[in-house]
Amino acid sequence: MIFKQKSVLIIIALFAVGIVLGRLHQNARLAGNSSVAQKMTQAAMFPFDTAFSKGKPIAYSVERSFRPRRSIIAENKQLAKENEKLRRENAALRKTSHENRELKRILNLKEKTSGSLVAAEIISRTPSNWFDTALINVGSKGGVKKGDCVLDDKGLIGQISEVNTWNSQIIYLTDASSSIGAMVERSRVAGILQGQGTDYLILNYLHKDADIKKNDTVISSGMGGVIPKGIVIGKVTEIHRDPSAGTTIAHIKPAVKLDELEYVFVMREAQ
Amino acid sequence: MKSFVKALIFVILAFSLQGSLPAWLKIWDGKPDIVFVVLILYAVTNGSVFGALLGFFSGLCCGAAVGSCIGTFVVTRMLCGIGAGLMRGSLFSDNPVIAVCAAGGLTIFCEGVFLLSNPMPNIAHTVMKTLGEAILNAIFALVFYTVFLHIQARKKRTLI
Repeated sequence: MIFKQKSVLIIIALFAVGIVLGRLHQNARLAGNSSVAQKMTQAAMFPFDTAFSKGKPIAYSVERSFRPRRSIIAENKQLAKENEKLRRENAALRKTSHENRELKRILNLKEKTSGSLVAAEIISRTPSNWFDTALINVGSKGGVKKGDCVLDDKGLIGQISEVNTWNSQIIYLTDASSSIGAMVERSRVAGILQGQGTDYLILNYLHKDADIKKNDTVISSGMGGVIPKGIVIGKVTEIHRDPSAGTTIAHIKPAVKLDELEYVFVMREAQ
Repeated sequence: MKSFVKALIFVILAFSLQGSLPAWLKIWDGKPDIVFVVLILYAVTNGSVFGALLGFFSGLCCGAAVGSCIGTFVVTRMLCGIGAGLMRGSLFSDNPVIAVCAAGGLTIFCEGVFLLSNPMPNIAHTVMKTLGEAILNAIFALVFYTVFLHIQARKKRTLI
């Protein structure tokens, strides 16, 4: 006999509790909520996640302290050049921003996006290989709601999938369960963008003769009313036309490097 | 009880470390699962009931962090804890090769069971990702287990 009777009982009880927890969690998810077990475990883990995320900059600064003088001088020169370039760009942008504001005023458009962005730090990434999610340090206290759109300066990142008091979970565009409306910026051809659990996305439900080319920029279409229209998602890398099925599928490389993200913006009250 | 609490603390620390792993630490898109490695090592050295209990809590942590499939995480981690624990009785557990094989083999088993209930769209990529994860887990198991054996040996010497 491999196991003693007591051990068998413990193992059976644990399996039963696991299955019941899974069932309760599934029911809670179907009702659009988080289960008690999930909330309690997340609350217990939060301090550890935060502590580890705070340790990262320290490790980075220690690593940077042990560098040769030559590399510091070279970096300094490069930064000075970059600073000069950014100053020029900043001046040009200020002028463009002013023009943009004026045009919006004329068109009577509301500047909703600029006033409703909340900055957040990614404190932990998903522990599993099969889910592309991350935890940010802003929750319902910071005004974040489930379904809010998450982006950075380069483009769309994903959506808020769970909200706790002090933290929230983001589901990336690349997650296998992610699906949003998107279109080609140049030709306005629209389809559904689906995550594959890989580093690329698939733009589906396009017509077989759809006007789409390699390197076309893909933006959000605003369909469904969850993600605002016009946010950059990525570029077309591959196109597969299937005349027999009458469809076209395009592979999209996201504009944002999701693995290297540290800070993001949550767009509250997505339009 | 004391050793279980210690193991649980290590699982929580491993879990926090897992969330902060650098992006480059990947093989074929598969990243290591430090929580899983810690679970396997504890199960190999403490037996299947210990492994099942620790598997339950590590599955709960992973499921809560991901936000879905809590039940699948709990059950697959428990199965692996039991499997690794069984090796203790039937094989010589002080050999690091056992820990390495357990970590690699059980990663493939655990992810296989997990993917049966949660299929992914790209099968070829999923297989490569699982293999990458298994290789990295085996490497981490070798490192952790060697350190663990070294600590145990030092403890024994101090006692003598």
